[in-house]
Amino acid sequence: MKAFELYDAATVQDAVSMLSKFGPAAKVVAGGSDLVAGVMKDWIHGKGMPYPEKLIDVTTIPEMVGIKLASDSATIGAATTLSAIAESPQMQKGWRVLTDSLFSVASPEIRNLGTLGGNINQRPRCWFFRGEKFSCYKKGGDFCFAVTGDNRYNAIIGGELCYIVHPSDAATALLALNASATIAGTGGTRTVQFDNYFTGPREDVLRENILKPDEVMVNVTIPRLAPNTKTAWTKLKFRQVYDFALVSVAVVATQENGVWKDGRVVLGGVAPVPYRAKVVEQALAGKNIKENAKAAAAAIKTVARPMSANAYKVDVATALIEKTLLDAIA
Amino acid sequence: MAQQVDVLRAVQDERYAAQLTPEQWSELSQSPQWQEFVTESPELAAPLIAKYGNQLPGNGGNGGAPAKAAAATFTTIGKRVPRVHGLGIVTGLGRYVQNMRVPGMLFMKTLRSPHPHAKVVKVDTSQAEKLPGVVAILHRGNLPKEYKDYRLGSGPPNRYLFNEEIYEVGAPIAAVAAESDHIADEAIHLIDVQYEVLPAVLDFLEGIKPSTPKQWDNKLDGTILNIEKPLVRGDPDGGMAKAQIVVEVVATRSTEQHMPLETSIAICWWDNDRVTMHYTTQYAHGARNGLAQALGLPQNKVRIIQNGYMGSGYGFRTGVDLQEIHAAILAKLTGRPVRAMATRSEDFIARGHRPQNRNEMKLGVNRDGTIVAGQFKVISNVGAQRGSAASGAWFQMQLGYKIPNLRLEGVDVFTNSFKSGALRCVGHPNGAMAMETLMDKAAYAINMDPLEFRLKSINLDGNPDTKLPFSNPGIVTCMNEAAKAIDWKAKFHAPKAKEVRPGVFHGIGLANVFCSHGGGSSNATGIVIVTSDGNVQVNSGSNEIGDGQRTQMVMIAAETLGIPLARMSITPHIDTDLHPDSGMSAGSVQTNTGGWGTYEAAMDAKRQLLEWGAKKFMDDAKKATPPQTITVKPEELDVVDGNVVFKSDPNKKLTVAQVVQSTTGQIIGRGVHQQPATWQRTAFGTHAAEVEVDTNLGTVKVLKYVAAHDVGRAINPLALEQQIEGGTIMGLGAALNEELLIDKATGVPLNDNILDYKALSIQDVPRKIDIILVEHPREYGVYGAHGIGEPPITPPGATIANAVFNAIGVRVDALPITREKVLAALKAA
Amino acid sequence: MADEHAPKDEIKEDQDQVADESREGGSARVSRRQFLVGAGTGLVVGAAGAAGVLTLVKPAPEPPPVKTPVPPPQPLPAAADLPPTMRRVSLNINGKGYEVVTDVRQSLWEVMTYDLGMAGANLGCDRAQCGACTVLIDGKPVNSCAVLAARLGKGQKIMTVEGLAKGTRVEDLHPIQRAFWQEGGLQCGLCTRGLIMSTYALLTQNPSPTEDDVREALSGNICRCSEYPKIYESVFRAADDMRKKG
Repeated sequence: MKAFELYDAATVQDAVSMLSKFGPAAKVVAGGSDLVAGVMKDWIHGKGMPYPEKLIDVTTIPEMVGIKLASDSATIGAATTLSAIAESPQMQKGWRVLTDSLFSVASPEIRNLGTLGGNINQRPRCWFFRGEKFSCYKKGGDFCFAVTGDNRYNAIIGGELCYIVHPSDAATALLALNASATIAGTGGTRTVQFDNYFTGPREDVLRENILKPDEVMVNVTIPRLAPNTKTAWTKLKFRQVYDFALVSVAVVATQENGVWKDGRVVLGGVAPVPYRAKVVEQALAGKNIKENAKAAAAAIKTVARPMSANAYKVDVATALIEKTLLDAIA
Repeated sequence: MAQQVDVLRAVQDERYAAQLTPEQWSELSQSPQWQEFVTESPELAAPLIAKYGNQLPGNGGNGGAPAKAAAATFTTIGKRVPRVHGLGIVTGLGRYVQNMRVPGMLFMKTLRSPHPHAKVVKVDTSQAEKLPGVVAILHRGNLPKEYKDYRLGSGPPNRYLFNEEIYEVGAPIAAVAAESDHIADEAIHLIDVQYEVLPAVLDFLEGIKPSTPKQWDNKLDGTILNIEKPLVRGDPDGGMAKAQIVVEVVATRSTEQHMPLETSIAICWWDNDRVTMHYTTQYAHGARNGLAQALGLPQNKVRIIQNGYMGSGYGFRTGVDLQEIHAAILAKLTGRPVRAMATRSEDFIARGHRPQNRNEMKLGVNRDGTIVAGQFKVISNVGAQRGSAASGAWFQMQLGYKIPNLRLEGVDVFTNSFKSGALRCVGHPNGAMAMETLMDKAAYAINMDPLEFRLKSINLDGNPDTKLPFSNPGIVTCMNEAAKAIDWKAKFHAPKAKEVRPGVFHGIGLANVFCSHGGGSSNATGIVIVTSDGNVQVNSGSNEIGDGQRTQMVMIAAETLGIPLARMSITPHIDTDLHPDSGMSAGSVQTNTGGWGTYEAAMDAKRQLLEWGAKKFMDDAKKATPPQTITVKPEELDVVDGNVVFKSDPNKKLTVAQVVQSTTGQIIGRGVHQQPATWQRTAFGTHAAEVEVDTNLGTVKVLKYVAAHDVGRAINPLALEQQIEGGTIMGLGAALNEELLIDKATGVPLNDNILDYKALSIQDVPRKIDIILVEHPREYGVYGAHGIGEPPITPPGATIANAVFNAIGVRVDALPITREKVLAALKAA
Repeated sequence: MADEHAPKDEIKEDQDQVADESREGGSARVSRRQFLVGAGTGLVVGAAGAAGVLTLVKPAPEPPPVKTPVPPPQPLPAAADLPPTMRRVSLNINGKGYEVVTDVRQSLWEVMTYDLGMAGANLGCDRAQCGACTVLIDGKPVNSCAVLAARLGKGQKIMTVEGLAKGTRVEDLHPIQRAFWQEGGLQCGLCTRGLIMSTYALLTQNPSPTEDDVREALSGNICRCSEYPKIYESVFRAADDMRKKG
């Protein structure tokens, strides 16, 4: 690992001013299970991805740790560990799709270290991006090695220039839950719906979200679910531990007598951002979910553009969407 | 016989029953308690009769040759003995090399080539040298001249300490020694290297083409290293033409890596003109000899200590590699201890692998199940070295089944990629995978039960080409036992005939293993010292790598000497200055290498005990009141439970301590065993599995897995079960998950980490492996035992491939059987 | 049977020699650091005196090849005097306190191994992908390779396998340690210390785990010898023994 400086932030403002002072080579660290044990130990850097020279610890900011429940929502500090959220009985009761998604992350050890903000904002797992020797677009290089290389785990939807898949299970569930993030920066605090949080390669290939270098994700707010809302989470991984989603599906659906009223079907592992499968949602609108799950799931094929070695993910996604819809109403 | 057989336990405890020997079954069948079960509680006896009926008199033979061993009575052998050094493992009292720190220790890191084929034009270390804490940097430009001509292995192409022309990603360019690991790591990133990139061969099937550019003065096409002289039996072409049905399979395996959890590490220092190295090795003496050669030293000036606590090896740690040699040179140059620990990525890339293989298999059969002819060709990717792997896969093709007309071919191909080597054997898992998938395909083609088809042609005689016989082939017992345990007769069905849930299909499959490993090798040596307090030091060079060998050594010594196990001691570690060379812990040989050496040493010590005992009995008689003159011959005595006793009257005894004290101090037994070349030493086993295949997701789930192995004699059933469980599950990893990949354009490895290599977790394996220990004692084995380290990893590939075919009716004969391959095969069908 | 021939004598002998080596070694490291400020790993005071015997044993002790004169004890630099690349932290490991000055790059595993001479966790991947280095922080299993030691020292309680046993004798073992040994839930043992800590975290929360509970709790601990069948047996046996003990 390259030498770096370590600072503890006492408050959000403290963190923001350090980020602002130090510039783009400063990074926020929470659990560090990927930033330190992954990105930095593996020297993943490039022209567009400076090696972190300064780390700012935000787990030392009391405001950023813990769960606050309100009548209409839950607000979770971004530095709260994944296991603290997943094991919270209130969270399990109110937002099962989130806690299920968090239980499916990596390993028990990593869930005890990793935080919500870290999970949402972690860098992608594409093995070309993770290979120190590949200078790809995402690191400021001029090539996507996945286009001609082994792309079995890459995007089937929405790839352009870069074909990563978004790695976060939490992000997939939170988008389905219509959650929002509170972000603090030099200019103050702003709240952003997850609908608008993620950045595809077309907008900016060097990052996966709208966080600016001087900004910190402070917390995440999730609205309580409307009555008659059904939810389900499915994540298919290669192994049953450690692995990122080959395909994951979060369904949050408001229904009446089995008929789809409103809701979201969000896929992880298929696109550079958590992917809201509006084609599937539209195919279900006003229809009986059980009877139409198969056909609606198949609609994903109309938007999928698989690469040379990942067509199987289209089949897997189709099967998993159907399964997750049926699980939700079961 | 291990112990008096416990009939009640046999009825109640499936695992206990599974480990009973033929002699114990015989004893059980005659015991009144068993007769009582059969008559009074037939429902309790029935499962045992169903499962082990062939071992019980009146229930038919076991197919193989009957166990020859007489009803021996054992005191120690056959007991389930936990590791002698287990306390160290579970506490932190035992030090792995990675747990050690030596005062003044420097940390070494290696800069490695990112290119698969290039010339190193210039190495500029000036920036790295400026980094505070960097102590020394070794590279081609400053390598002392005495090391310049040394190369590892044979060439061309050559592997020097630092090549000018490098042939693989990961070839060392420079080694930095610094005050901390992180400084060394930072320093290698400050070294500027200029390369002249050369065209690389990354695909071994490209390597065999005449148009492929040669990388050395090669008389063969492209990068072919070696075309084996074919092994021909009968008339393979004529036979094939006469066969009623010809089936073909192209079976392939991807590159696998050992991924032992402790990465390769050495800590070394110099003392006068001698170098000492703590090192993760499966063969301390082999490492010593290799390091001595590299450093230009006599063997007795190199001392290797294998800690005994070692994060295993599985086959690729039998010598020294460049990292250790660089560390020893840096230690000499700096005058300080140097610690060189590979990163996980380095262990994945820079050392050995089970090679990628392609097997072109053709079998001619008649509809009655007779095999007429076989034509088998193995092409192996041995990577960036001069190596050989293809013919290593022939064994099972050559002697698993009776094939009158046979041709075996093999081609070894160089690529600028992962180097081949042993991973619980090099080639047998490949050969068995190809042969057993082919046998299955042939059975289905003639509409015959795959078990029956195999039984019809199974070879029980030995090697048909050398005429060396097997000793007690247990393969038929293994097949029958595995079939019984999986309930083959009831569960076997036509392909894709059993849909258990929508889109999910049940499948069942089996495969055999014939493996040449486990018979032992030379260097079978040992020393046994009986101390004056009647305890025993076992001094064996048998390297502990997690297999329980050192536990087995004390068990053999205790049994042979007649002194209780509790009075044995053995160091966990091996020190080449102090221990004899008992060969490598590889090739499944240690049971019959270290084991035979220890046995012979214990016999030697026992002979001396009896001689001294006879003398002491006579001397004591002279000193008695009144003095007596008696004659005692050593052959009248025995050692029983730590006492030297008269065979005729065990109450007349001396303790071993008394006998040893009557000598000059200690009794030192020395053992050297020569392995007779009388037998075709062969391990036999059969695996069977039930799987479920989800045709929507491509997921293969193993529901039940049975592994039957003929172990000759179960010296330590606990350790045997462990080896079988571990080998089998590693084999399941290769069958379903594991493949080490490179980017086809750049040659750069893609998944050289544990996340992406997909080694199996506890979540991904069946709750248990049903193990059947078949015991047909071998004439060549110590106490009849045959080694077990490698055979269990061999059958899972074909077992799973065959079960998947039975489930979905489509063959996937390319390991690993991933969901994308299953889904693609289903689509293509 | 195995209890009887556990290598007790060797343990004792090793302790003596290594404790000695550690005293010299610790001092040697201190002296070197004085002219390598900012470049080295850590500065340790009182490690040999404070650590339990379990942490100070090596199987094949060696006389230190480089003898450095033992300087008088040096005070640790104050936290405020350190550059932001270094930190002084007070670690609580197995109930004992350690003052360490560390390069902020060092993981908890590195500090425990290189600076404190402990062997309570092993390194398998250094990337939080295998679980061999699992230790408990405030009762929760985490990968000690992924935790920067400099971020600790804020009251966290660290526990390793070295804190489980009451002493160095067989009868001092915790039931989990005993079970992994006696049931054969280990082969090479590199993963075992981490597995034992994951098991401890499980069984202290859930004394009667189901098979699924065990599978989930131990899923982060890869055993490459693949001794999973007997790892289950070990956990169930340990759970039984712990319940019997109450």
